[in-house]
Amino acid sequence: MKVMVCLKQVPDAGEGEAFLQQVGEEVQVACDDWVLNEWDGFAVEAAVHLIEEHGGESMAVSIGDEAVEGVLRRALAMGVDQAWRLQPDSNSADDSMRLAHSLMGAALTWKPDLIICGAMASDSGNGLVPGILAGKLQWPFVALATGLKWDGKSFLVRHEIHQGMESLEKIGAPLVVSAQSGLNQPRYVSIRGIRRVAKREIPMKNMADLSLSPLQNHVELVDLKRRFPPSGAHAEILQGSPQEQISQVIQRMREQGVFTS
Amino acid sequence: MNHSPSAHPFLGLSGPWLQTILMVLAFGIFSWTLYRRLGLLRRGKRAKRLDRPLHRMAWTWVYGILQIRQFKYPVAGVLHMIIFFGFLLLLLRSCLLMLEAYFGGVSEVGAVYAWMKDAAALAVFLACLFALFRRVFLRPSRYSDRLLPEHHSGEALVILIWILAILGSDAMFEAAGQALLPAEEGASPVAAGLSGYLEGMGQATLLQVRLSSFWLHNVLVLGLLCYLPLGKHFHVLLALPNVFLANQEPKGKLREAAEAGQAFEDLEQVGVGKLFDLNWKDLLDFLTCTHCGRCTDQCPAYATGAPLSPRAFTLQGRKLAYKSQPIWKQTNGNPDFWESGFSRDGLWSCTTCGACEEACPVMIEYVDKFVDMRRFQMEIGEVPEELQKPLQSLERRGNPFGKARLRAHPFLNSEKVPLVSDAVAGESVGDLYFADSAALYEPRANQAAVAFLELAHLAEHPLGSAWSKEVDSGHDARRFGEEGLFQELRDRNQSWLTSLQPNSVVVTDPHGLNALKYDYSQDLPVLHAVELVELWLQEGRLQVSNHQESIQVSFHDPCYLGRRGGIFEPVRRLISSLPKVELVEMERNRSWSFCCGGGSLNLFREELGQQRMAQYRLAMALETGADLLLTACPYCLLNLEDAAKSSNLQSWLGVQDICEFVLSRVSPENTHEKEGVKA
Amino acid sequence: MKKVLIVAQPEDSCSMELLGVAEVFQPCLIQVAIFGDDLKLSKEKWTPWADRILGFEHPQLQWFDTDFAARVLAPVLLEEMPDLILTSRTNPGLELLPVLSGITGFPAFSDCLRVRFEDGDWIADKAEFEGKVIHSFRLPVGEVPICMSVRPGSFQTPAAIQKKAADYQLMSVPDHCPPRREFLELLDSSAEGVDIRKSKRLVAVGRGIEDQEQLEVAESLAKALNAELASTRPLVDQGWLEKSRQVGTSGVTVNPDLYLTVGVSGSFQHMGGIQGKPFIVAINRDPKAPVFNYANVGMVGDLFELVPLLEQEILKLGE
Repeated sequence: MKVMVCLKQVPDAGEGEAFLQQVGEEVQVACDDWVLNEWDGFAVEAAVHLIEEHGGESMAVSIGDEAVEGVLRRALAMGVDQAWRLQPDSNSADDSMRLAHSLMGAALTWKPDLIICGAMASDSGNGLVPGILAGKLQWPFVALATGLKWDGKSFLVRHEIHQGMESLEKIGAPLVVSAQSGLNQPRYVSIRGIRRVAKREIPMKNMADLSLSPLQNHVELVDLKRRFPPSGAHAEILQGSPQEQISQVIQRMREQGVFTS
Repeated sequence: MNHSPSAHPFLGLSGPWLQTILMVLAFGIFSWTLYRRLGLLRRGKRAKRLDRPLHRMAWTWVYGILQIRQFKYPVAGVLHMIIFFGFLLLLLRSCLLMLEAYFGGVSEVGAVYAWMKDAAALAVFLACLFALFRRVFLRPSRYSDRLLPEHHSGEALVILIWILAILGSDAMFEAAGQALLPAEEGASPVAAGLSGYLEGMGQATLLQVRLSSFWLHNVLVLGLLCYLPLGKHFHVLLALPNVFLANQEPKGKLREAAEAGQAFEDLEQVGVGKLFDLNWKDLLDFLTCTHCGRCTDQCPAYATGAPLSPRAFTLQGRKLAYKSQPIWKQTNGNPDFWESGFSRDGLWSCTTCGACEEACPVMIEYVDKFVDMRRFQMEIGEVPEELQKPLQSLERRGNPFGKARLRAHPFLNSEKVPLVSDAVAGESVGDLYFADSAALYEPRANQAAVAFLELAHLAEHPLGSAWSKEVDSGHDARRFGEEGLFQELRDRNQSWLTSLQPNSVVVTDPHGLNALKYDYSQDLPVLHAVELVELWLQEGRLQVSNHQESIQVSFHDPCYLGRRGGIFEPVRRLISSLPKVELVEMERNRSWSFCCGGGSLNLFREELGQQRMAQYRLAMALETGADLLLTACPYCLLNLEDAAKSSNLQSWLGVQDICEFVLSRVSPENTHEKEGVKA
Repeated sequence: MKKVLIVAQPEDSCSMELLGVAEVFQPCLIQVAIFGDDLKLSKEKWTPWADRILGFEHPQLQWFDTDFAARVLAPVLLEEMPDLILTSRTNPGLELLPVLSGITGFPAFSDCLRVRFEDGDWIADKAEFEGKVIHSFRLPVGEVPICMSVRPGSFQTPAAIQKKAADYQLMSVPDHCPPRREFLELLDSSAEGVDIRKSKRLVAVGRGIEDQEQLEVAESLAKALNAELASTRPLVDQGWLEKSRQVGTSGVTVNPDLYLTVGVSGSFQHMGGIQGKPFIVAINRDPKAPVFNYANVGMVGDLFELVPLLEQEILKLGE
């Protein structure tokens, strides 16, 4: 079996969101700390686990400049057999359609039986690339997998459908799956593990290497500015009688859209 | 001569012949079993344990011969001392009786010895009887272990009875001799006494009693010798070597992950996954264990119901070792350590508090083994889920709490503490305060640190801080087996420490103390806050008010301050120098302190017992009747305070950092004066 | 006139809200694609709202096979070339929308929160970084059809749209389109204990609750708010609440929109289990409780006074 995992690096968004900075009217993403997208971690674990169990080969791919080698190396440290870095489309590095186009090139070149992606990226929250990739490849796509097995002929995929419900489905290869958080617990990667793959060569593949022609006639959405949502960022202790406090808190909750969502 | 066995054939064989056959047989069996057993050690990894031989001899005298650790458990300790020293005397006697088979009369060496020997025999006899009684009827809970399916008391009983039989047969041998030929001087008083009961027997019967007692004695003694390497009484042979070869490094120092001259990154394999990944001394530990259970009795994880028992670990390890090298069969391979039955949950339950090692009378080591096993687990990615997040936070952000790197001065939240400046490289920083993660990122620990800094301010002791450069000391990352992460954190801290060159480093976190002292390589004096506060009080730089309410306090010794750091008495001196403050100790104090649940990464780990360690500890503090429980470690403070909250005990027993407490007792004049000076 | 095509998912209770997006583009032609093995009910439901209904009726659509649906719908989209293709960003929507985009080559916009017409441009907003920022995009409406998924709850079903009864067209499902996903079993994952991680509103209780009976105060507030009850460790330790409700470093990590704490002191061990940027309301007796360092709004006082009052007011709102 050949399993390909698609990875994205995202800003490390822990406590204290220093990477989001207000510059004039807009918010800019200024980040030095890039990490592997959380959902992609589940995807890597799933790929490594499948290969450990059934044999075969796994490969991690990511699109971008040398910086993305960091997340590819993490995948290598977790046990993925090889990694490719795909050269980004010169027109736009961040367009879902263009990303899926490059990944399609990798898939058609390497010919995996299964492609696993994270369900979405924690920065954009889009969740578009895996589905677009499947559509372009004309492969079936299952989103939000919480279980993934190979029975020798087909994949058994358990995935989330609506609130609290999941379905179990049987689907033949080739297939695109997106990984949801319940799928597994990614193994820990020790610093030593990362250092030991630090010198592994990660080949860069451009359009020509993947026998891809540039995407024609693609119209992109035009990226405008980011801004912070209106919110009460500071703790505010309400004053007045209990009744007054309650009216105020109801007012605040209403402003936050608590009652409309 | 008095009917010596050397002169009377027994079972058709002459004395010397019979003795020779017995000895050849016994020593043959004994040397083969010993060879197989000790041969195990050759399969372990290397370890250097022969440095400083003179020191080791002194050490062996104190802990091996005088056995001072025995007295923590007085009843068992005294019994053991009697049996041990009695046996030393009786060993001579047994040797003489072996010779008696060749040279008649050689065992009769005079009245003085006879009296001594009888006294020893009697003492051993009574001690064994009492020990038997204790095992059978009193059944101290220490001898059972919920993590060991088999009960080991059976073997202890057999040995006790065996010893009694040796003593008895010797006594009968002598008594029969006395009855045959009532003797001159030098006769054993016990024998003389016993011989009275044999009167009336015929000469031939008496001779048979004498001979059969003699041979029974010799068979029992030689049999015991053969039995030793097979059971827990191997310790009779191994205890002294094991004590001699014990780890002589400071208590807080861990075994290195890579041998000297090797880079950690280049190691082919890290840590211990299989049995013979352990070193030979680790295996010797397994062989030496006496099953006494003092380790497990002291273990906070075991006490609270977690699936960890140090004794069970050692005995499971021993069983696995014996299985992989049986005495009479072919040697097997190198089994995975989990095959022993020791569990992953057990491995991760250890807080590295070191109580087990402190208790072991034969100096068996645990923490180093556990850490080495964790290193292996880290390497293969088998890490408890709840530890992954804090470990990644340490990697990315330099603290386990996942907080963003500090951008504002962490000690300014109290306006009274403006003294700590950001230390700048190249300038003389004097004494440097190393805060470590808790004080920097955890609000409650930060309060306690601020209290200390305020005391420093009042005592006019300038302290610098490099808070913006600091990352976690890596102390617990290392103890959880993440050596690579530890080395990275250590290197980051050491690079600024080296460039700042402080006179000394002061810490409030005992884990930081231990890391700087033993995990880091720079040679700097490292002090814990309590040592300085005590000094300031002594020198009168801090004035304590007399007009305060009387209060009873108890003190919880943090593991890495006390047991590992050896700082017990400064705290006691400090507390006793405060007027109207009375220290009431918990039963488990100083080196017998009971871990609060552990610091740093331990905060994130789910304790697997029914009760949390901190709650257990709190109950001990409540017993003292103290109003306030003091401690000197940010994590002890967090754990104990949390336990007090969880059990709704705050109104009964407050929990405070000792610096906070001292600050609350400082006289207002002192504060006032200092502010006056400032103004 | 603009053409908006709504892809109505069978199990989606929010699909009518998509009309709220269409409303921004008024006047426009509204087409609705419906799926199932029996379309009678959904046909009735949509008839007053649309100009044209495209019905895809097939046994494979008894459960919503998004792969099958996308493959039968995509050729229609390529023929119709609507300006906007809308569907809800439900779990099936997360499958359906990008696959449609991939097959047709139309650009996709995910998780839309707001659409407005500004200076001659169509601007759509979406949340990024788990709601920490709002990102706006200009939609190339008119240049190319746009596939857009809409976050449920972000738009309101308009009061009325002036439409005559819709034309209904039963679409042929091509034979060369064999199903590729075999449905085996439906599983109810919530049966394995409550999963408060899925709840967008949480009422968290802490040690301010002193015995089990007092929990009722918080429970009924949670009920009024349609929220799940979350807990700090001590209450779980006492056995008053299930372990699955424990938020914190040793419990679950949650990512709600509203986090209302009742008698929670706000220890790091607890607050560390909250992700994202929920609106935090804290009620505590102690003005120095660290929970106020995390909260957006705090009330200092007796929870047994404040909580029932709050519940009353919330119930009034619902009326």
